[in-house]
Amino acid sequence: MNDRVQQNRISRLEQLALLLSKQDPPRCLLCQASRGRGLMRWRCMRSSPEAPSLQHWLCSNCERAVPWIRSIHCTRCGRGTVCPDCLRHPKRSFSWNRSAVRYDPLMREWLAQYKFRGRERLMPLLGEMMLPLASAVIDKLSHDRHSNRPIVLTYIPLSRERMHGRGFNQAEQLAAYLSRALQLPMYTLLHRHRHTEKQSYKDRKSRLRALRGAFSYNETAKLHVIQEGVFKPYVLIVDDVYTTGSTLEEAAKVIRNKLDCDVAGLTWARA
Amino acid sequence: MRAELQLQVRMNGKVVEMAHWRTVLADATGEGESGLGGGRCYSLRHALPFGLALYWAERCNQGWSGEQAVEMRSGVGIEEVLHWWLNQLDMDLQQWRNRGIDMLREGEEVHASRLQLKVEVRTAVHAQSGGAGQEMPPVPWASLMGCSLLLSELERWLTAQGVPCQEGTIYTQGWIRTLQRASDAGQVELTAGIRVLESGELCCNRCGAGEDALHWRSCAACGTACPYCEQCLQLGRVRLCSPLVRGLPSRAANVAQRRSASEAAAPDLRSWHLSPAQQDAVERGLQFLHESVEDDRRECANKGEAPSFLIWAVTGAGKTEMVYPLIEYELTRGGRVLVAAPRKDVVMELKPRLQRAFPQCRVVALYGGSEDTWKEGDLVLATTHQLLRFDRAFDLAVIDELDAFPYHNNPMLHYAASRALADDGRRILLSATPTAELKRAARRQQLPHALVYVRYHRHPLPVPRLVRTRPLAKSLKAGRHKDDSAPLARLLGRWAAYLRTGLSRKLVRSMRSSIQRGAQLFVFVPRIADTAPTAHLLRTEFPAERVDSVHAQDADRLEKVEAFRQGTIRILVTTTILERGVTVPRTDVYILDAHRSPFDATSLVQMAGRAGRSSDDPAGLVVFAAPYRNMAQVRAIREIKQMNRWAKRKGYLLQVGKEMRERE
Repeated sequence: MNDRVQQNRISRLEQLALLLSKQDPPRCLLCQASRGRGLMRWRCMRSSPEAPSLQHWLCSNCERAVPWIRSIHCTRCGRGTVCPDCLRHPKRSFSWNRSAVRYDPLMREWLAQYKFRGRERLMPLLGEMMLPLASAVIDKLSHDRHSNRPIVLTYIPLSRERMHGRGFNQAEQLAAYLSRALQLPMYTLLHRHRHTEKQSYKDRKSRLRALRGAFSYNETAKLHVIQEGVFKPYVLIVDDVYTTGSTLEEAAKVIRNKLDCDVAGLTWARA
Repeated sequence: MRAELQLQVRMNGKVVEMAHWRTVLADATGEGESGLGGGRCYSLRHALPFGLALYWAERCNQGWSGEQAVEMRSGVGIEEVLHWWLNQLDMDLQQWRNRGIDMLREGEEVHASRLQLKVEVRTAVHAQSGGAGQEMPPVPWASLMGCSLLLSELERWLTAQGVPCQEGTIYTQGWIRTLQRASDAGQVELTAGIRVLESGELCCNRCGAGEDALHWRSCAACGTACPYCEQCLQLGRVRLCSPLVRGLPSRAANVAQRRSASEAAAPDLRSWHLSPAQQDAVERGLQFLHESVEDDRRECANKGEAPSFLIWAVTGAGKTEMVYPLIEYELTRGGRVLVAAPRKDVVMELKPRLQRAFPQCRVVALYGGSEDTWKEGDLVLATTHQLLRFDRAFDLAVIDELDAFPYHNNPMLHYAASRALADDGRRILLSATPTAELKRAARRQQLPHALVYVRYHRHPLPVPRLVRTRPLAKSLKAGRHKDDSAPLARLLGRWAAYLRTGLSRKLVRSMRSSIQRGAQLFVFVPRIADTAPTAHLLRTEFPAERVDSVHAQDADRLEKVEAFRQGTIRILVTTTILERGVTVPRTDVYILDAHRSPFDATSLVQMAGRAGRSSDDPAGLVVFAAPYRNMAQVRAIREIKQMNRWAKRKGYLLQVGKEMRERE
């Protein structure tokens, strides 16, 4: 995992080369401000140890504005504050969910740029933001008592119409990024056979209703890890935003019907 | 979206059958029919990304309609022609493979050549398997004329036209087939989102961005690597596989085409109440529009630009009024007219004025968040970015303030402005301060132009006064520390007045006299950071007046400008954002730190143009306050004086004193 992270950062030598070259300084991916070629940042100067360094993409202002979830209040859904949702639905199909950031207006803007406008260049940035969280989760899981339970990544699928319109599935791309970085297997466990309208336009009630029966289990997925393993596998579902948990709930229900496993969520943002 | 290449070989006018064609092909490659499998037998992928298929279709057609086709038709040298063609094909295949798109089908099947060559090649939208052939609602394609929309935009357009189209369904079978049918019927044209230039490079067809703005990602819609354009993302994503749907004029409209120039009557200029200077300029503009297209075509062919006409009018000359007769002329001819303005507020202000002037035609205003976005109109008012939605749509484009902020140094908007123009369309450029390039072209008679030296009210432009002051930064600093210096003030006695405020006394005296004469004050400062402190300083100086500051990032910008227009704000401190477009009758203009960088000759002229706009108060006061004068200030003053001189020489100025004497 560390190799992967190191690759994404600008090495000192590259920084020096940038410093000496007459090229335009690199620009921040989001605010287009020049990121300044002068200042070299050393390990000791980083703002906080647990936040990943995003300086490969962002200027320091944008980097500082990221609302990381540093402490978790609700152990179920990974929210930083008290969570009335989880109190209301004590029984859920998934074990827990963890998110990297709070879904504040800035994050909403970033995700809109990536997901709705289709600025796919932002994908590695969002993936990188999820990486420390995912690696911490996986370290925790593999140090648990059931240490040889296989861990598998999957993602929330899109309907075919949406896929054609958008051209990519943001959850799949994030899952693929994590799977490459953490060397975990990724499977397409689900299909979305019904075209539902965008979740982000709806209120709570219609969100819950719209999703019922939208997913089906992908029978063709060859889960040799799961089939060969003696222990119950852990399936981590990757998605972009966790709002009410209804998507994750529905997906987890479908997976657990077919597969004897524990299901948990890894999302980029928690609304 | 994927598209299939449907190719047919025609030789000597007849469609050649597959079997015969293979023999020819095999002969050409120097092998017998038996050797065809080992030779060059291409089997292209079943469906290619749309842009690629279109490029191939064009290329094939081009290849067969040139010299080679003539040779083919006459039956000579078929082998050589085929050799040439196949070599081209090889090069292309290699090039696209390097880019990550493999066009050949995997596991090549012998004798399954899908590449049949045809003089006329069409791209057929790839029909996916499945999907019932349900009836699609009829679509008023004719009102799409000139627009160039992505499928996602088309969906919203359909909804706005009242055609039931559920969100996301445009990508499904039924609609794609409808599109195919419309394209076959010549109602719409499907153009590639990303175009392949002759040099083999890619460029965005909508915004003209080159390869450095295109990013390659694997695409779920076409199943291969596919670039997308990042420059024009705001209006939806353009990919290699996404078609741009362009509405074509219907046949009925073709018959009732624009009347030729000779048929159209010249508009009656008297009805527009123009001043003599305006009238002269308008007449020259009409002459430009009236001239036969052919003459200009030859001149402009080498430049690759639409024929343009520059109206170089001083600030307050009434540029908008001058454009009315030109628009009327084009509208009576049956053309479509575009008025492009740099900013949203200008468009919003202009719409009711134009609707009043042309009540019989449909005026549509396009800007971010406008209600008219998907409406069709004869007269379209648009901000610059909205132009990207048009392709060869307008016969006349009036482009206001070509030198102003969004156009300046923005190749995307220049591209959009020229793309929106029809093939024989013309441009009229309006500016008070043209760029050096335009000025040079005008001076050398390369650019037809009209100069308007005088304002609508026929009084000379106010000439700026230079006032030497200390730099603004020092004034602000002195102002901030004035409380600290109380003991010093006591020590200095009556001289302490000089410590009281940061602003130079000369400036304050001048401002006071402006206020006493009842004028409102425009105070320009070079930086946003200076606005609030300067306003504070002026507030301490003029406690009785309402002083406010406004800048681009101000949330209440519109309200404050409105309040200034109403006269409730007496002194407005601002940056260059208000240098254009704001007209308040009785204003005096103070430009502080006129020597600093965002202020150049152009913006100084524009800001000076805010003064003396009304005929009640033609002689406004303009002050350039700076520690020293630089080239920008000198040039601005020189230009203003020159305009006044020319106006006087041409006899446009109102000779107030003389006339009065004569009357007596």
